[in-house]
Amino acid sequence: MIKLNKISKVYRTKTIETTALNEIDLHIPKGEFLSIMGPSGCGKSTLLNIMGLLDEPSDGSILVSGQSIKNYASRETSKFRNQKLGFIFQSFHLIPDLSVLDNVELPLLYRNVSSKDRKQMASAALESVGLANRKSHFPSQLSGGQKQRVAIARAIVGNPEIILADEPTGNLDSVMGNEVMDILTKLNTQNGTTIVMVTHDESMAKKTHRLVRLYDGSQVA
Amino acid sequence: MISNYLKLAWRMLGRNKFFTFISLFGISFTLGILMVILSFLQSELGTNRPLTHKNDFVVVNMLTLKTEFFDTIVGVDTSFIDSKMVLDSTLEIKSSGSMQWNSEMNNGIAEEYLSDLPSAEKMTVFIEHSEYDVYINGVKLKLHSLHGDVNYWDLIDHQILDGRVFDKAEFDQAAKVVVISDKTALNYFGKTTGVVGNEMLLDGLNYKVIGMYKHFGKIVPYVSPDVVLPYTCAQLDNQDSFYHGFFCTLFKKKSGVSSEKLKEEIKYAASTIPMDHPSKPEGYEQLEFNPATYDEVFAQAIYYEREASKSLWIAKWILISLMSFFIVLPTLNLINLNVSRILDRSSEIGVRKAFGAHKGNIVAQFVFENVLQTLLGGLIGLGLAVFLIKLINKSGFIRNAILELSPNFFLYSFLVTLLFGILSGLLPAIKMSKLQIVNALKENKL
Amino acid sequence: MIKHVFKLLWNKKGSNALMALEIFLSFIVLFFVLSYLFFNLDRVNQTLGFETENVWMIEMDAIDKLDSLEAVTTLQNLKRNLINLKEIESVSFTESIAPFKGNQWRTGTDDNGFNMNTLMCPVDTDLLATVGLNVVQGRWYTEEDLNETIKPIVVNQAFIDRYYPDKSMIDSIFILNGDRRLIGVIDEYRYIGEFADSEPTVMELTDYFQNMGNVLLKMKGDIPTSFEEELYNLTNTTIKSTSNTITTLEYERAKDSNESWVLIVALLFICGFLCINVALGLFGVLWYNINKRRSEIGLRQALGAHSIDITKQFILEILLLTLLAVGLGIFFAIQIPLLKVTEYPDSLFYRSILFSTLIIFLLVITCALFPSVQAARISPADSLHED
Repeated sequence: MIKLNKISKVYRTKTIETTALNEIDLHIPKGEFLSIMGPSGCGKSTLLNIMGLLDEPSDGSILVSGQSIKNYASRETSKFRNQKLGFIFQSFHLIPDLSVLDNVELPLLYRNVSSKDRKQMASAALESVGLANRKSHFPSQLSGGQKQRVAIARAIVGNPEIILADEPTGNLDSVMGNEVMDILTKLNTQNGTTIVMVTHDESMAKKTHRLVRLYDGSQVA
Repeated sequence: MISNYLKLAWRMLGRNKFFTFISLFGISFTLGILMVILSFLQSELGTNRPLTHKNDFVVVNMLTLKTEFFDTIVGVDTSFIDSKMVLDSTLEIKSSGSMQWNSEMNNGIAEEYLSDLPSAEKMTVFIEHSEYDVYINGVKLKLHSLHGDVNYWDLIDHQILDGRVFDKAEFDQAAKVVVISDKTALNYFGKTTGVVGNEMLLDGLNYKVIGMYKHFGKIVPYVSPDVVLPYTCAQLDNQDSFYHGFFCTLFKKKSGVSSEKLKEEIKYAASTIPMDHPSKPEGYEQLEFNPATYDEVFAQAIYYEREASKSLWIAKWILISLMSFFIVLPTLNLINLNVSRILDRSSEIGVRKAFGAHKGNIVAQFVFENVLQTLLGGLIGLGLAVFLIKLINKSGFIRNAILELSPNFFLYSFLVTLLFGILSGLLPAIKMSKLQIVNALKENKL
Repeated sequence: MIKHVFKLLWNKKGSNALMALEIFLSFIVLFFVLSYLFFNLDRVNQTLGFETENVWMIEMDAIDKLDSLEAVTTLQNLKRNLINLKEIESVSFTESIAPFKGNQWRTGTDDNGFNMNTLMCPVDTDLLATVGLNVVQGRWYTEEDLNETIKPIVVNQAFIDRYYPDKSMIDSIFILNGDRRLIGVIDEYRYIGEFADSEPTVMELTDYFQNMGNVLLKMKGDIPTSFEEELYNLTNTTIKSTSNTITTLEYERAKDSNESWVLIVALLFICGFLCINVALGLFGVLWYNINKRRSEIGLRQALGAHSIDITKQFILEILLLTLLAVGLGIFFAIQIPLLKVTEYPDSLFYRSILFSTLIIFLLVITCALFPSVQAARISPADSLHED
């Protein structure tokens, strides 16, 4: 599903050159639930961004869903992200000025889906995370766990093949974190969605198929 | 506390230079233009020389002869009383129009019937708008003259730079003497010193220059003539008319009485003037004066109403609404900018509140910062205004007007600036002070 | 998309209301300033109907002192003396009504219920040549016209357009201070000034070598002003009075319109400044808002929005806001022509509305473009992980 080939990422400022990733080779088959661990600043998030086509590697090549990416700013890449990928973030990133339903509809807005279908699909997604009764609330009226469930609903509403989750439980207590993990696991087993998750939490990582450890930009396990 | 605020405000200005530029641009331009308008109003309507007694003035610049026509309407109503028809006739008298003749007045009528009013301290009569063409080496010089009496010099407080003004004896003898402005001296003699004692050729007659006063350059009437002569020297051609003539009458009221009282007395005096003089034009039956204060005369030029006080009222509101329209937009603009800028500092507000600042402290701090910024803008605006005023005066863009920079002008400008600063700072500051500590401390993220 | 953007605007109505109010007020200010400007420019652009170039004017003051017989001979002498000068091409006497002098004479006539309100202007036969009037129909006066029993008159086109638009009225007789026969139509004679409206005007041939106010002189080419003194002396000696002044129509024209131009220039200056001010303010606020919404932008890109979508969204947001504000402005502005609040032509206000709308949109789009494009450049990787 995702194939990373000698991926490097170097940040350059005038005075310092920082290597965030150093020749990472990684293959993630379809249907795998992979977790990535490592201390702060080891490059986990950078790796996830590169897999999500949000960031361009300095070196190396990447194949996602059988497609190699050349121009990151092109329409095709946007479309690809929209249809094949779903994102979940540690700090939820819900738009505060939009209601829960509108937030979940967001990915569909960038495809040609009629307003009626959008509502239906978003409602279904919300139902699958157990928030059908919170549609017209605004993010500020929700608890952290609820917010993350909305974010998951938003990630799955477009039926992506891959979900990229950046510390989805990082801002949640263990009860809520477990709830979110359950939803992700269910997605993986029932729908066969490939999931890549960055986490701090050893216990969460244990629930996944495979664990990759990063240290200073290199894969250590 | 203040020095703390000052330091912070100064750093804020430097923090986002682009925003500081936008804010200062708006503030300085707005205030600059306001200051030019202020300077104009101040120059024209302030009580600076030669209009020192302006607020005591009442002007009668028009004598009205009029007749109203009446129609008598006879109405016959029929009504039934006790089942008997009754005719009920009414007579109605309605004004069906009027005929008016407005003109300036004869000096005789003013001196005879208006010179002794109880509320008036002094009165002067003069002819204002005659012009002389004089030629100096083939180049024409147009001179606006004023033919006055001795009292003119007491009412209009001209600054005499050299020589003296004409006296009662010279006035009575119709002596060929003239008092000129320094501007005229420069144009006519090419110099402003030693012109007293020289001769001046006006309308083919030689006049002796006996004094020189400072030219102020105002649009408002009666104060900026180029030459002043005794009106006994004027060639007048309708002295056979008892009513109409060429004269304007200016009163200075006694201190302590109201201008309204003097106006009433003038209106009453009109009714004592006999209407049986043979020079009275055919068909006119009434005589009226329409006295106005000096400000009202000015207002009538903006919006004419026969009732002078109404003119002043309307002109005032036209001016106020135009000015506030002009101020509202930049204020709103600044408020918008400030709201955005202050939001950026929500965590600072959170910290301040967490350490005990209450709402009032926060509001005071932001208003203070904004006032400081406005004062800075006001300073730039002042520079701009001075530049514009110099430019306007030099280019003669507004004909016959010279804008002044007086101490009052700086005071008013400062007050306007302060007001602007408080106004545009208050709303965003209040909005910000309502911020909850917890939210304020949270990072500014989605 | 529009619905989505509208939702965004609506849910942030608090902060958007201030922006909308600012745009609304800008529109109203622009509307009034443009109305005033168009109103005046329309008038300035109309033909005056006469030439001011190389036309001089003598204003005589004290002629009333002479008895009528003496006045007639004096003025005939003056005319002869003036026309004999090699610098002067043509001489025309007018009464106190002369171009740009502020005097006007109006009359209303009721011809069996047909009301005519006209501006009157006493003229002599030489006015045509002196100020270059344009006869569009019929003819101008000749000396013989003075002896006609039914007085002939010449009117301007505005008179015909207002009162007799359908048929040619040449040689018709109607009542206007007595019976009058129409002999000619000139295009215009707007003697009150450049900023005066075009009004029905009647030029009446007057045998007025009795009561003179002003003398108009057509000069042969560009005569230097030094000639004024000679002219002045000649006039003084001929009419034995010294209270005369000499001026040129160019000068009087400039003097007459100075006040209006001062106001127009001042208004345009202030209005231009307001526009720049509002534009900079909008730019600042937009730029700020977009920076504040960095993570939203990153998120949208992660969810599949292309950078063009982002630019489009932000421009759409501000356009929609502007549309609301301007729509409200148009609603108020349009009441003026609809309710006939003023007597001025409706088209004036419609034009101002159109141009105000255009200017506002131009302004807003210019201000929105840069920040919106900037927004699209934000990299999702940076904006989503700002730790």
